[in-house]
Amino acid sequence: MDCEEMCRRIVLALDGELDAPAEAALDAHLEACPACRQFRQTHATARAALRRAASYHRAPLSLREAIAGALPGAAVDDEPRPAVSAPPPRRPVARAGRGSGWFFGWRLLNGAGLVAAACAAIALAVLLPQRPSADGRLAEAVVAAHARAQLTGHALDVASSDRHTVKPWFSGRLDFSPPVRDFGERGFSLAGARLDYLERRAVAVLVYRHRQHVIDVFIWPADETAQRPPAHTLQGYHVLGKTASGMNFRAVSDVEADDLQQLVDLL
Amino acid sequence: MADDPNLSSRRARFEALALPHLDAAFNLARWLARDSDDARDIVQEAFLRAFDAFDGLRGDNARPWLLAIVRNTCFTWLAHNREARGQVSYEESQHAQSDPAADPAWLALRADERQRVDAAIAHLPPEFREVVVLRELEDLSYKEIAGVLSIPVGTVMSRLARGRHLLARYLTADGGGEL
Repeated sequence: MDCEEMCRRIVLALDGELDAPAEAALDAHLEACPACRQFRQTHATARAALRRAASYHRAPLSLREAIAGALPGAAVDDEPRPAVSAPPPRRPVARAGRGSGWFFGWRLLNGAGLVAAACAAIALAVLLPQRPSADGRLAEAVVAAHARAQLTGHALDVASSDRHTVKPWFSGRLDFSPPVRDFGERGFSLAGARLDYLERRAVAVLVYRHRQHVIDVFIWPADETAQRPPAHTLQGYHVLGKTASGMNFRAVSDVEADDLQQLVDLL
Repeated sequence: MADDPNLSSRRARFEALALPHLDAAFNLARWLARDSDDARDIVQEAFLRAFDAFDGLRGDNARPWLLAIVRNTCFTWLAHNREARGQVSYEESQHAQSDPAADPAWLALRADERQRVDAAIAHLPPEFREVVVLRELEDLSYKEIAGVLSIPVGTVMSRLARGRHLLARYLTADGGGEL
């Protein structure tokens, strides 16, 4: 077969886009053709250099904020805003006082009560999705800690992919021993760890890398039994977590939610 | 109206699907524009455009869709704000080039490797640069890249081949092809 076609196959093979039979034919050709071997070498080296050394330009935090500010629509994640569309519930007693008889007063009271109840229901419906629950506030704190670490460049206190380095590092710094594992073969390589402060206590943070993204996993002892808190998405960051083996886990990153879930399941 | 529930839920969905790809968007814009300030403006404009076009997104994989918008915004922006650049022909036979990688000098890891690789990418003509960035830095498949650039998969392959070859040549050239 001609070298033109083989060069095409070399490129495909390097990117994992060549099927097995075609690859077998390619291997046979490479055995016999030094020019194509050279071509493959050139491409493999250029590819490796790029993946190893090229700069990945992450978006500045200020850009993230600028976009969030510029997008139309209510800011879903901001602090609870007053329910502009629902007037404050009126006090039925004050209204009732203006009635002439007890019956009329009762009727008015009842009517006002209904209005008040409707207002309260509207206010509740408008406010509820916006008022962060305890878990929502925790997610906000986790996102803030993650963003701060990225912003200040203080993402790691100890940089190591070796759990036998990271785990002992925690002892003496924390009053618990977090589980430390590397999932490099699953695409989540351990980059290191740091300490952070959350829920009014010092917590462990394991830092994983997935493609070009950084994932922080916050770990601290749990009181409750095994459970899964709801997922949160704040300013483009996903927060997923679980409680298992006596530990609380919260993973935060800008990777896709599915990928983050995969890591949480591994933990 | 600020509290329009449709707008609010649309925005929430947009934030969940598109904002996670902000880094990818910025990285692509930064490499195409070769300037951080320009990349900021481009990405911000692209996200607003993407929000308007959000209903056009099919499925949940927003990344190629968003990157296509970033790329188009980028070229429109650059055409308005900068001089048009010269085009480079990419019809050259694969074997016609010398064999830069035969020189083991650039195989050696050097302290300035990042600088040299960055300079080499920046030096690539835009049509190769975008393919290389999408493939090597964003890890998009050929099919996804074809979708982002609106070109056939075969063209993705040939541009990638040509781009890598040029990179290899810049990297072996003395000084690593500064620009």
